[in-house]
Amino acid sequence: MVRHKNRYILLEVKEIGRSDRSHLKLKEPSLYTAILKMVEKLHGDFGVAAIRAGFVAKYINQHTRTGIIRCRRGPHKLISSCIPFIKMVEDKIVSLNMLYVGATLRHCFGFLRNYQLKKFNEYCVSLNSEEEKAALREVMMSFEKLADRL
Amino acid sequence: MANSFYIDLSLKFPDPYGSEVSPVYFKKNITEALCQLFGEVSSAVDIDLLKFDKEGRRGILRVPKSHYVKLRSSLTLASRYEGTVCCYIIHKVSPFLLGLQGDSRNYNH
Amino acid sequence: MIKTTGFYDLCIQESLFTSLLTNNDLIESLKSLHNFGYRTIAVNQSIDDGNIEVGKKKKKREPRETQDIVPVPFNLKRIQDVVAQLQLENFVVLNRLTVFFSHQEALHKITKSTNYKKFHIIAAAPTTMPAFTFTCTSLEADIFSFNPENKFNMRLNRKHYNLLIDRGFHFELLYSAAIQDSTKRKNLIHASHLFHAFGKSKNIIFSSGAENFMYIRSPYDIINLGFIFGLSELQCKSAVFHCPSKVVLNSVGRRHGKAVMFVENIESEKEDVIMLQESEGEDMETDQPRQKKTKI
Repeated sequence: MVRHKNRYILLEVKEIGRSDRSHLKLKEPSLYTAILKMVEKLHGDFGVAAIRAGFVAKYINQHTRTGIIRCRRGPHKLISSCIPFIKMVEDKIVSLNMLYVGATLRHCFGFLRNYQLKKFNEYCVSLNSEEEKAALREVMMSFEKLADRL
Repeated sequence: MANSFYIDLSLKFPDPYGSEVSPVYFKKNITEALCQLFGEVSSAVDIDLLKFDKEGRRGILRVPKSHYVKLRSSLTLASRYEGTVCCYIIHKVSPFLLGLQGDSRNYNH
Repeated sequence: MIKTTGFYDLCIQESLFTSLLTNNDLIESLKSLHNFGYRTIAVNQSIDDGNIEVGKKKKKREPRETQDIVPVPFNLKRIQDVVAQLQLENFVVLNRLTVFFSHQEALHKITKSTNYKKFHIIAAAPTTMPAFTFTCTSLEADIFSFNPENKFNMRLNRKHYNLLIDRGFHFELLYSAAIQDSTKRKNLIHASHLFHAFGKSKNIIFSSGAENFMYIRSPYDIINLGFIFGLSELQCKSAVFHCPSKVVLNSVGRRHGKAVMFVENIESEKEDVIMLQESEGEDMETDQPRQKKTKI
């Protein structure tokens, strides 16, 4: 009965001014503070206090430029309403894009796997040689290992 | 029923406050109190200051029903007017403007 | 037996009353409290266990200081004189002690002191997990409080919450801290949301904890504030009205200790029979239909 229901928000971090394939050097605490500041601005003291209980920046993948945030089910609307307004994280100009909101981490990873597969196929159109394809697949597999560990 | 609530409130200072409280600054302080507790999203609600008495520092506000609880709690937790400590005392609230006149609790039949 | 009514404010800091030097100030303050609607207040004194040393027993030791850690309860006579002078009805003033502690050895000294028993209400405010588990199991107190300056760093769970409710504790939220400072506000709202998540906000009371009269608000404003803390409408009203009266009752019970009561029936058979017959007669009259009047 007292199972805390969470929402896991999957974000894509687009850095403006850099290419789509570069590595993202972002740390979890900086994403956490950026979102917290935006929640404070838009929803005030009440918003910050409501969120604080279950709010964690769970996971950031540099290669695929994705991150996962966890929050409790009630206040998740406050966070999801603030994400489009975030402009700066760690003095980089970014634009956050919400890809998926899941109830468990497994849901998120299931979606992420399919999403990465789609993207991989898109990139493979431009690449011709087998070696480059293998190299890109390496990158994807490494992300899966990390995901399974979590 | 009614769409909005009418609040009769006054601003009280502990020590005699020298300068005048203008209606514009009164409203600004209320909006700031809302903004601090509930953020920019809630402070954008239209709150109207219908009447204001300068000497008694007493006014009548109108709030949409949906934001009444937020406004009232942010008035309770508001502590500063232009840097000095103050407190808001709410005398009466009613969904009708005429209701601010009468009071069923203190009415002598 | 203390009879209390009206709205309750069970935590007004003693420094508020000691700073009111003139009698006029005191009269003004009590009048404004009465006008707001409060009929029962408790003057709070707090102690923490930072000063208490838990010394190891040595065979040859110097005579310990016999100074009492617990201060003498605040003298309520001055306030009660003003209440009598203003003829405020039903206005009751109580003494309350808040104990901040982080380990339980110091608590033993506090509970054994003579001044401890003179306080009407006792509030416990543990600051660490072991202290918290100690309050859940074996501390005799009425209110569970916390200092809003620090984050509520204890891991609350449903089992502990219900344990405390069964022992008669009420959870207190001090709202004057929220008025002063932004971080305290966040800590307070965070703690109240935890109470809602783990305990459905049962047994919660609101108190001011004010050190200055500017920070006391009208009880109807506080009832509205309860909505932000996650309470339902009924819970908000009872947090200012019904639950504090339960606190006062529990505190009276705690001070008197555990007792055994016998309930006996008083023998009065004959009277019962007579009464039954009378009531039967009445029933007979009403059961019979009204007799028809015959026209002559």
